[in-house]
Amino acid sequence: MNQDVHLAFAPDVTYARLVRERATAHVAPLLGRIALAAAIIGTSVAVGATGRVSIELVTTIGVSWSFALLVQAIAAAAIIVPARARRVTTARAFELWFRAHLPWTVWLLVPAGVFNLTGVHVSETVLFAGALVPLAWTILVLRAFGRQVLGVARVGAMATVHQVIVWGLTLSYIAFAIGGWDRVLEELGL
Amino acid sequence: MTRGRRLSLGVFVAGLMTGSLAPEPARRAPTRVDGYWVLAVDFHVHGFPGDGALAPWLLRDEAARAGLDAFVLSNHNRVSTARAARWLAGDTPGPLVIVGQEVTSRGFHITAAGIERRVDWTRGAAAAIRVIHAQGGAAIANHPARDYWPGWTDEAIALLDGYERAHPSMRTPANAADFAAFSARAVRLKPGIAAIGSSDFHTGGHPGWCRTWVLTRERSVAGVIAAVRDGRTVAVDMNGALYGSPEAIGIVTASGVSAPLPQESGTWQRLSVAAAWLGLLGLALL
Repeated sequence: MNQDVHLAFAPDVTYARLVRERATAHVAPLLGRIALAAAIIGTSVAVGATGRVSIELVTTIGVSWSFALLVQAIAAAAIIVPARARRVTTARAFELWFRAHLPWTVWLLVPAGVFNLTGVHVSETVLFAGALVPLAWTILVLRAFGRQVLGVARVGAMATVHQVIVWGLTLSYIAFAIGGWDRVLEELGL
Repeated sequence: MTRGRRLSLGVFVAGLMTGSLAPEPARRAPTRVDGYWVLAVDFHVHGFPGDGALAPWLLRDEAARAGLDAFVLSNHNRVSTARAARWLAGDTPGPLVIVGQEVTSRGFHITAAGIERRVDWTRGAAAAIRVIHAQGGAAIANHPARDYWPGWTDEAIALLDGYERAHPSMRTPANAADFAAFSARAVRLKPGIAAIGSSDFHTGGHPGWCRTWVLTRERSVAGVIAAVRDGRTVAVDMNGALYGSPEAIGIVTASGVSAPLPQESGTWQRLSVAAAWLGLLGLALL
């Protein structure tokens, strides 16, 4: 198992170790994490939408939907850049944050695996209800990131800022995609 | 990079390459009968950017694989993606790309097929349909189950060119009953109204899962829109059942065309997906 798995299950201990290991970033691991995330998004969406994979499908979808990674980067920047007690460089903090991908990776890969094995799509209800697991899991990892990497005392406030940015931008895209904010309110039963 | 991750990367790339080299499904040749082209059209498909998964050129490729001759790219309350899709398609061989919008409002959704500019969704169904007609398009009531009935006044229904008679949501018996009830009302208020089959493809299923056989005089966007306005259509649901006027169903049946059933993934495809999936899992965990 790699350090990303340890990070998902023991975030405080693993982040503390990673901070001690190195304070400056290496470009290759950061780019590798971003490329892996794009490949996971590209593959899972391609399998869900077409039942197949190909170089064109996965790269095009991965690039198209990489705005999800941009959302993560913007939210991460909002908590990393102003952190005065940060124990590593800005670039290293980004590298360490992008190692926290495992909860969402599992959430993306499982439906694709189920579809390939059974030919049945996981229903949207199950998919969205299932998203609560990586959502809560990521917040736990985020709090450890705040404590161990950024040296933040009020990790609750930091996590709130991060999540408001992530979900604010995500809902804005959804509003654009499904026909406006009134439709979002309608879907939420408001 | 560890040996395990190198191996995983190799398996992932091998999966993608296998998928890229997998045999393509045979393309359906256009059919002509009684002076009509019998075109397979999906009038309700969503793309990216929007709430569809696939970028326009991938969508067109999927439409071709599904045996479609044309599709309407109808994102919610905007036409930009559809116009980009048409521009990208240009004159290249493949399904016709028809610019559309899913006019999305509380109480009704309408496919505006064959338009150029965005239609205002805030002024009621009848007003929206008049604008669609003024742009030379065709107006189709979308997935008319009970939740979407409140916006449908008799006046608005009488202005429609078509309504979705076949849609994947009909797998739910309650929705199927609602569609049948709306159909009876639509045919009473607008005799000759076109029966439409659409996939409402977003991120699952596939374009053309439900589709429409359109009897056109010419193989063009204008020909498709004219056929809808004249009611020369037959809707096909996911089980292959046909809906429409007896005359149109007779012509389609005589033509011998048939809608392919939902595509089963071939062994080649499943192997390639399994390899890509396992490779990614290895990269994430090892």
